Amino acid sequence: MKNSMFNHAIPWQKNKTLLVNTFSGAIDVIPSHFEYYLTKATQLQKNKITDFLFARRYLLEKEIDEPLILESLYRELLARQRKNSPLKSVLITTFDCNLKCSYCWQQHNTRSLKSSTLSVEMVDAAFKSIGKLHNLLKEKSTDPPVIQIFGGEPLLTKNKELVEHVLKKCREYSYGSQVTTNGVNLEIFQEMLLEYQVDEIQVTVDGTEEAHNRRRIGSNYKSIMNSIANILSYQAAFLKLRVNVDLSNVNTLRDLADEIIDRRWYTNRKFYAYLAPLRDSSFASTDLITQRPKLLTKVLELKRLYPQIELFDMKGWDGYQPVRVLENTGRFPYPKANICDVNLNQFVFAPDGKIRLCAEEAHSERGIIGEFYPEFSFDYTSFQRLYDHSPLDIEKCKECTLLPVCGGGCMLMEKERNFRNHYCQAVKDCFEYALTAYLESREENCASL
Amino acid sequence: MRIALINPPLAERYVNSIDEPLGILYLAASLQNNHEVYLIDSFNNLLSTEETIKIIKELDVEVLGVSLIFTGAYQTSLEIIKTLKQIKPSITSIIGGNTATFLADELAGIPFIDYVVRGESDISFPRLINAISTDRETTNISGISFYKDGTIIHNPAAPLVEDLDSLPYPARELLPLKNKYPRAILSSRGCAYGCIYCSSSAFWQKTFRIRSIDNIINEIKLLNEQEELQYFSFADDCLTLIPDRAREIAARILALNLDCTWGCTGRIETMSEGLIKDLADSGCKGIFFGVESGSNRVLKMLKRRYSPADVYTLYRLCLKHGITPYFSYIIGLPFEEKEDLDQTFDLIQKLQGVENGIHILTPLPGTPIFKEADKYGIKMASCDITNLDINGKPLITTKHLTAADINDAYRKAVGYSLKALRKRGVQ
Repeated sequence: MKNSMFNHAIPWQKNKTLLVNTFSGAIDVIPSHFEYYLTKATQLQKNKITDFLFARRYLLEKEIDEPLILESLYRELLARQRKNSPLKSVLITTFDCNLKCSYCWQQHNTRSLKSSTLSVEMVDAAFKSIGKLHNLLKEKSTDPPVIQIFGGEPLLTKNKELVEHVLKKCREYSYGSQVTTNGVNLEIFQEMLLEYQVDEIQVTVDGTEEAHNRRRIGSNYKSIMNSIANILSYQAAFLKLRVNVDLSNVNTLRDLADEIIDRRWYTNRKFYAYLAPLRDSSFASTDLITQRPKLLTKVLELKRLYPQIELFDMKGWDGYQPVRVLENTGRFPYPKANICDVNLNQFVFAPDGKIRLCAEEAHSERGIIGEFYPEFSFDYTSFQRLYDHSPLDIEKCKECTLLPVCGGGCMLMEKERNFRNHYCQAVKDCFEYALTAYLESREENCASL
Repeated sequence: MRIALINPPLAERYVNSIDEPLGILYLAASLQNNHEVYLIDSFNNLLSTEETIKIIKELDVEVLGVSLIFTGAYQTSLEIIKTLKQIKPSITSIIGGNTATFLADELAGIPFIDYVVRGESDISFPRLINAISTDRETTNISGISFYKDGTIIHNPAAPLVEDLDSLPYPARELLPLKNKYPRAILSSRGCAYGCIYCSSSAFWQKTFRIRSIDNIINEIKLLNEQEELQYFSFADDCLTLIPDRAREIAARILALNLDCTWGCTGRIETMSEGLIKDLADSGCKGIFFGVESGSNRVLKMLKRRYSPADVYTLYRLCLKHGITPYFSYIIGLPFEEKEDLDQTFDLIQKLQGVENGIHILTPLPGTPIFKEADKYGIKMASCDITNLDINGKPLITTKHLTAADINDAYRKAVGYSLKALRKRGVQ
C-alpha cells in the first residue's frame, strides 16, 4: 500500500480535514487523525480506515505508477482536445495601441521594435502559410481555421485598409474570424466587421465608467458601451465582454452587472461576459499574482451579496477553475493536460515575419518556430518542443499535489523562478479557499433543505 | 388589391428568437386568392423602420395592414403608417393585433390610421378588404373601430371563427427567407385561465377553441413533405390544457414517424409523468412553463394549484424523459413580499442547468392589472406605451414593494438564474 501523490489536505472545521485527491476527484471530510494513515501508508495493516482510504483512491496498491498513468492520460486528453481545436492563427496586425492603460506591461516590451505593423504582403504570406501549417498538424478539428485579429490594438483608423484586407482574405479562404479590441474605434469599424460577418468580437472594459476611464487612459467608457449595444442589436457577431479586474476596481462589478442587466444584454444569446484577473506577463512585479487569492475571495464574497455579478463567468481563473467545474457539473474536471493554447493548434504571426506559438512572446526573439515572410520556413523540432511541452516537464509540478487540476501555468514562468513560487502559492490558496467556500455553502444549502 | 401585411420592428430588439408571424400568415392565406398580398416581416428580419418603409414604398400597395402585437412596436408602427400616408395619401391604413385591440380608442383617433381591427380578425379583416376593394360601405363591419365625423366609432365585436378547421393553413410561402423560420403550429386559440398579467383571455373573448387533431396532423405532414421538417413548436398559449388531447396529438405525431423534434408551452397543473413521457416519446424536446413565483403563498393568491415542490418534481420528470423545461417567473406580483422573493430565488437556484426566465410585472394593455390596477394595489408610473416591457425597467409599485425593490430583486433573480443555468452537469 502507498500514498497517492495527489492527496491534498486542507484544514477543515475542528479536528477535521478536508481531503481531496486531485487525480481521482475524491473529496472527503475526514477526522484529522486519518492523516496519519496517509503519511504512514507503507507500514499500515489493513483495517476499516485503510479500506475507506483505499476505496477513495487516497491509498493505492504499491505497483500502481501514478506518474505513468497521468502521462498516458495527458497524451490521450491532449490528443482529444487537439482534435476539437481548429487551427487558430493569431495575426498581430500591429503592436501600436491608442491607449495608455495604467497597468500595461506591453508598452515597455514593444517600444523599441523595428517593425510594428503587418503589411498587406505579409498578411497574404500569412494566409498562404496557414494552409501549410494546417497540413503539418496531425491532430486537429475538421472545422475551418480561425483568424484572430489581434494587437496591440488592431482597430486603429490608420490600419482600416489592412483590417479590411484580412477580413477579405478570411472570406476568400472561408476561414472564421475574431477580433480582440479595446473598443475605442468600434463605432468606426462596426460596419466593416458586420459586413464581413466577423464571428466574434472581444471588447475589454475595466468596470464602470469612472474606473474604466481612469485606468484605460484614452478610452471612453460610454462610447464603448454604446458601440457594443449597437453591435448586439444586429444579433450577428458573438460579443465577448472581457472585464479586467483587480483589487482596485472589484467593487464596481455590481454596478457594471446592473448596467448590463438594465441594457438587457444578458437576454442576447450572442453576448457573453467574463472576469479576467489582471496579470503581468512581463513578470516585472509579483504584486498582482500575490493579490490573486484576496481578489478571488472578494469576488466570491461580492457574488454572494450581489448575485447579479454571476452574470460574469470566471472561466480560467487559476486555482478556482477546478472548483468552478465542480460547482457546475458536480465533479472535478479531467486533469488539465494542456498548459495553454500553445499546446492546442495555435500559431502567432507577428510583424517581424516570424511564426511563434505564444502571443505573449510575439515582441521577443524567443519562441520562434518559423517564418512566414518573406519566405515560409518551419522548424519542426522547435515547434514540437513547445507544442508537446507538458506540465509533467516542469520540475516543480512533478511533485505537486495540485498538478492534475492546475496544469502548470504559463510556460514563460520557467525562467522566472521567484515568480513561479508566488504563482504556485496563489494557485494553492485560491483552490483551497474556493473549495472550502463551495463545500460550506453546500452544507448550508443542505441544512436549509 | 395590392396589400402589404407588416410585422413591424421593435423600437429596440434584444431577444434573439425568431417566430413565424402566424397572425398575418393566417390573414394572408385568407386573402391571397383574391388579392395580391405581400408580407414584410421586419420584426424577425431585423429591418429598421426606415428599411420597412422603403420596401413598402417600392411595393406601391393600396392597403397597409400592420400587426401591432408588442407594445415595443407601438411607435415604429405609427411611424411606418404616418410616413407612408404622407407619401401616398390614398393608401388605406389598418392596424390590428393584441396591443392595437386594447388601445383601439387611442389609435382610431389618430388621423393617419383609417381602421383599427380588434381581436381575432380572420373574419373582419377580409370583410373590410373586400368592402374597400369593391367601394362598398365599411362602417357596418363588425370588429373595427374608426373615426368618423368627429367621433370614434367602435363597431360591435366581430364573430369568432366557429370552426378553426375551416381556415386555410398559414401562407408560409409568402414569408421572405421562409426557410429561416422554425415552424409554428397553432392547435388552439385562447386560454381557459385568466391570469392577472396576461391579455390572452380578453383578446380571445374568454373562449378556448381547438382544431381537430386530423387538421393539425395534416398541417405537420404537409410541412414535412414541403421541407423535411426538423423542428416545430406549438404556438398555443398552453398545449397541455386538455391533457388527453395533448397525449393524442403526441400519439399521432409519433405515428407519423418523423425525424423531427418539437416544443410547446405547458401548464404545471396539467402535467403528469404519463403525459411527459408521451410528449417525449413523440419528439418533444422542450416545454415552457410559467412558474411565476417560488412562494407557496403567492401561488395560492394567483390561484395556482401547484407548489414549488411540484415545480421541482416536474423539473426532475422532464429531465428524466429527455425534455428540457424552461421556467419563467414574474417579479413584483401584487401580493409579493420580500420573503416571497427569497423563496423565488431559492427555487430558481434549485432548477439547475435549465433556463429560468425572469420578468418584471408590467401592466400591458388588456391585462386585468392594467384595467384594474387599484384593485391589485398597483401604482403605475406614467410612461410611453413603448416602454411597457417585461424585461425593462419596473414601472410599478405595489403595496409591499417599491419600484427600487422590484428592480433590485429582478437583478438578483437574473444573477441566480444565470448561475443556475451554468450548472448543466449537476442535473
